[in-house]
Amino acid sequence: MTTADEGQESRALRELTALYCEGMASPTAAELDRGRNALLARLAAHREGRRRRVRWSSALCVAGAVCALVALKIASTMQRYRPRELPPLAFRVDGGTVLEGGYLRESGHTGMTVLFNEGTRFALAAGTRGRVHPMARGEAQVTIEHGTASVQVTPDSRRAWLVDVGPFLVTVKGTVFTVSWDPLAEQFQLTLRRGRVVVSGPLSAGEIALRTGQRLEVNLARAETTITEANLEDGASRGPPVPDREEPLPGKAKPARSAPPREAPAVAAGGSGSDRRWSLALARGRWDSILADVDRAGVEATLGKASSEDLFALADAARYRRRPELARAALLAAQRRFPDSPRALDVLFLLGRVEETREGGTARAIAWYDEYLARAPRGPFAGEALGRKMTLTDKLGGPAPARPIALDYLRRFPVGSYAKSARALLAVAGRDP
Amino acid sequence: MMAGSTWAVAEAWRRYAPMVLTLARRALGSQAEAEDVGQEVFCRLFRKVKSLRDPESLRSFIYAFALRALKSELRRRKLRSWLIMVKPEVLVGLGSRTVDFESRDILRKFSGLLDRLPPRARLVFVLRRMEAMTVEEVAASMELSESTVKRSMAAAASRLSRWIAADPDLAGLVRGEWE
Repeated sequence: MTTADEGQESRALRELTALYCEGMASPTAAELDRGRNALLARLAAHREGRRRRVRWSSALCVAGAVCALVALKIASTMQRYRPRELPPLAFRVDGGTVLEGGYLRESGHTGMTVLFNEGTRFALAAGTRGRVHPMARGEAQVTIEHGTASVQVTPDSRRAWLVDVGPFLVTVKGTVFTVSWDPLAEQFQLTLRRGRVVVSGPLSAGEIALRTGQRLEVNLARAETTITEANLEDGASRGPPVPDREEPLPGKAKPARSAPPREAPAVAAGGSGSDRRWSLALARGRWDSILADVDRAGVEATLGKASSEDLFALADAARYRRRPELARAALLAAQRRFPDSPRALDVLFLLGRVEETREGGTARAIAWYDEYLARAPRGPFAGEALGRKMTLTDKLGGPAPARPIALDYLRRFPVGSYAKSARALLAVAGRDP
Repeated sequence: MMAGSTWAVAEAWRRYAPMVLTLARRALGSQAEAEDVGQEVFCRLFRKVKSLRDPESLRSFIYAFALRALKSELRRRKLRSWLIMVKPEVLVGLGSRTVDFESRDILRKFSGLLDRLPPRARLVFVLRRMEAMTVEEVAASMELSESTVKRSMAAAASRLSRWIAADPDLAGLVRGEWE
């Protein structure tokens, strides 16, 4: 082999290359056999490994698909059952205004309607006194301190509606009902038109669950509790008419901030826990626990530190437990410490009620009623104050001095609860010489 | 072969393994490494045989695989020697019946000189001088231009001659001491 590049090679290189090639002989038959067997084993192992990889890959794919399906299922289930966030609750009042603390004030004499943005509405009859409490996320509470309210609650399992009626607490399950409380006669009445409610309070049977069409009447003075089947066709049992449920609510579709009441923020600031503690205890009929708290802390200390709400709850509990001295002290403390409270005038009327139960307190009761009528001639207790004054004056001095009061009452409240008594008194007074 | 039949594997090994193993021994100077490369070449062959369009070109197909594997192995060996400063294995298993004991020492030295060449130059030298391939065949096999093959060959021959001349034992060949 003679090529152009041979010229650069030394003889030694050519010799060494030839020797190298001779030394690097072809493989022997034994070496080839060994190599072939090794190759076959290696290929077999490779094929097995590939099959195993395919099996593992398939298994992993199937497992992955199953996991993905399970994860999707769990996610969709969680999405389905995840409680949606409650929209903030807001309300407005038709026919009235909202005072500080959520107290409702009637503008005219035709009652008022509290409309909540999620559809719930409270129709308060003329003269009814109520309060909308600061709203918690999953709870709403309305207090009917006196009078009659027709309630239509939009069912929502995420929100509990509590209606505080005098010493009773109505837990609403999504329903339509009418409730009333007469603090003078200490009479509670609830007519359930649709749904279900649970009433708790000073009931001998503990909590009472009512079903559609039932009427609960409780007379605390006579300690009577009766449940009857209500005649729902009887208009008198319905209280004020409940507005049509399908009627669109002005504030319903609006967010809470955009639908404030006319004279007060729609959502009041959160109240303190102690404010509601005795109120709830009172509503649940736990008067003794309130009085025990007072006895434990000391009457003077309690009267000096308790909130306005607690003082009223204490006064009620003391009245119900026939402790007029304590009730009087609580009311006087409320009058002294909270003279500008929306309930400051109520104290005057309630002091009159307390004095009636004290021995020789009739004249003092009349004086408290007079003061109330002078300072709140159109107040929610005006009719009751005038009626009680008439009754006590008749009791104290006979029908003659009570006659002008009866005439005044019939002029101002011709269909009031004392109208019948006033007419009877006038009839008697007319016969007297 | 495409179905991976055992008989086809055995037949391909019988026909082409001597060519691959001999080339690998000459290129690497190591019988053990040559066997590893041979196994690798045939394994790769059976994995890639489906890409063979013309069954008649199977021999050059295998040869191309072998050259690629040898080039990679020589590069790895070079890199290893640089990184760990260890001399590569030299002519283990050289034991040919036709080579005497003194010649083995000479060939080990010569193999050491071949290891000093760059991988491409060494492969060109092996194909050109030991496999007796033409410049055109070497260029086609290694996918190089003919001029590159000629330059690589000239450089390899020049360096080897110079290194041989500088070695007293190997230089004795020039003076005819071996004859």
